[in-house]
Amino acid sequence: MIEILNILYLLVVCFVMFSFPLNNIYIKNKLIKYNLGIFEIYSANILFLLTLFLFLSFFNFNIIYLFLTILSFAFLNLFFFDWKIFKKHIIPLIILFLFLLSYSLEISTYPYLDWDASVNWIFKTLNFKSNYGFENLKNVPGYVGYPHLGTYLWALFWKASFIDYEYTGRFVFIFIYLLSFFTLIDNLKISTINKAILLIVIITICFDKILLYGYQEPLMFSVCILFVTLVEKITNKKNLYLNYTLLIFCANIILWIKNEGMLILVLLNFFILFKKQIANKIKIILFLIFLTLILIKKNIFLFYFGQFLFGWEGYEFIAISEFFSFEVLQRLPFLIYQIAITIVKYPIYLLFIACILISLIKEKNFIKNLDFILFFLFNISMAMAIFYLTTDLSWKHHAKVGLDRILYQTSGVYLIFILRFFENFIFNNKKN
Amino acid sequence: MNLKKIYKNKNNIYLIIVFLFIMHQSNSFKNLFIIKKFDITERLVKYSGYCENASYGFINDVYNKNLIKENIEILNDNPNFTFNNSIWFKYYTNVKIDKNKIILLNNKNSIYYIDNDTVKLTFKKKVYGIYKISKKFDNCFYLEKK
Repeated sequence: MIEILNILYLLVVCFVMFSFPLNNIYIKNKLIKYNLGIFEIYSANILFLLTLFLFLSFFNFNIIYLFLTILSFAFLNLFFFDWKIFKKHIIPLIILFLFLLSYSLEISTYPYLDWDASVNWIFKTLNFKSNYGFENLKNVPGYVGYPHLGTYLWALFWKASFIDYEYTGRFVFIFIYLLSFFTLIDNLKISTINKAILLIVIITICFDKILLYGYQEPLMFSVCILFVTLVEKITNKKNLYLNYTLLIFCANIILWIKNEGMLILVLLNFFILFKKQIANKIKIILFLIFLTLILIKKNIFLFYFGQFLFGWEGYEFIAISEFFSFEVLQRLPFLIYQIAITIVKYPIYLLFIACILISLIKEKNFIKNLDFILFFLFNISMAMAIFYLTTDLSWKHHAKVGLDRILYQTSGVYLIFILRFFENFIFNNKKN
Repeated sequence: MNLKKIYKNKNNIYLIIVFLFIMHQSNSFKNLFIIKKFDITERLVKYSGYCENASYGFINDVYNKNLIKENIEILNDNPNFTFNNSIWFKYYTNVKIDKNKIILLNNKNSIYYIDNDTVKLTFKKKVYGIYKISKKFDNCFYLEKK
């Protein structure tokens, strides 16, 4: 019973903490031009707070004080809360809470950490939970070259829990993961009942055990969705400073969750590149800022640990002359087979392929969806290239255990296209 | 009367269906039962093993019964756990590893009996030395330096 109460307490803490700082009647009046829904506000708060946590993770201090401070501010903020905004979203909120509860119960029932989590991520979490900062990561087991933002969040919520077990810190991953679906749905112009049906369907088909076993993929999945949602929100209106700020925060967070975040960020730039509403000058500024963020991360790792990892530890590229050697080319059939398995394993990919084909046939406009098509092709190519271009002789093993996870974390991006497709071709047709 | 009201309001019916669907598809009712019936230690033992796989149960017992508040070497002979996925169960950050105490899990051929409670430990070709068996369960050993 205590465990169940603890789950409920942590879920309420998630709801309260991430309602701060933007859901405030005074701030909201200034942000009216952004037309933010409740779930978008929550997502923006997550980006703000994660950026704050990233900054604070470089210092040694008792993280329970950080937790209490933010929670106190969030509680105070409840007095200036825009409660009306919740009224319109009762049904989605109930669905969110039910999914949160059921996934949290699943984590509690099977408090199990999978390979990466038990040999790497958990030690970073324990480091932060013991109130040590980023610099001390070199003294704990695991790969020092892996980024740490997700584990800081894990430690923070573990410390906040009344039950001292690591799994309690992982509920927040589920909260952020689920919230990204609701942020997506927030923008659709369809009835509440259709939103509810869509939510239940997409959350159910996106479920994977990866979510439960301490991996960082759920976070990456959500932040990728938020990145593309933010790009989609940019219109011709001037001075959308908040959107651009959040986009930069989001890019930075992607870099600090996992090492492949760097590659994913490069791919996500397609959406900025093909966004007509963003002026070329701003596109260049954004690309330069992203490049700076990558260089800052690289230099921080070099400064503290003297190493900067691209993939897993010991990862090295093969020489250019070997790119098309027979020995390396032999890897292709296996990798293509693994990709095929992953596409079948995650229905989002199949659904995306089906939607894009129907869309191309119906609209006969290749350019309109070029950003998603290129993202898909480069995403698949990137996932294959990581294992194709390595000197590591155990590439086959790495591909078997890692390729599906690489593709899972970017799969949320396709949901944006799938939902837009449903909105345009299915729900709108019904209306007509 | 109340039931009639609930039945009349279609939204309530939908919500009940949604509730049942979500809770059912992730086995929430079963999970609630498991959480209620088995405490966290029992669940961890069930999924990490007592003296198999990561062997949470044995490690937990050794730490609790000996009131250990430091890191001790944990060796796992199970080939699927070569990266020592068991250390984190009782890991203390920035606390040195006490080399005089060793937990050997899923032993295959790592110990050679000198007498009833004394063994010579050689794990993956590294000779650790002579140890006294302080606790033994199946193929799991808690060893202390003689």
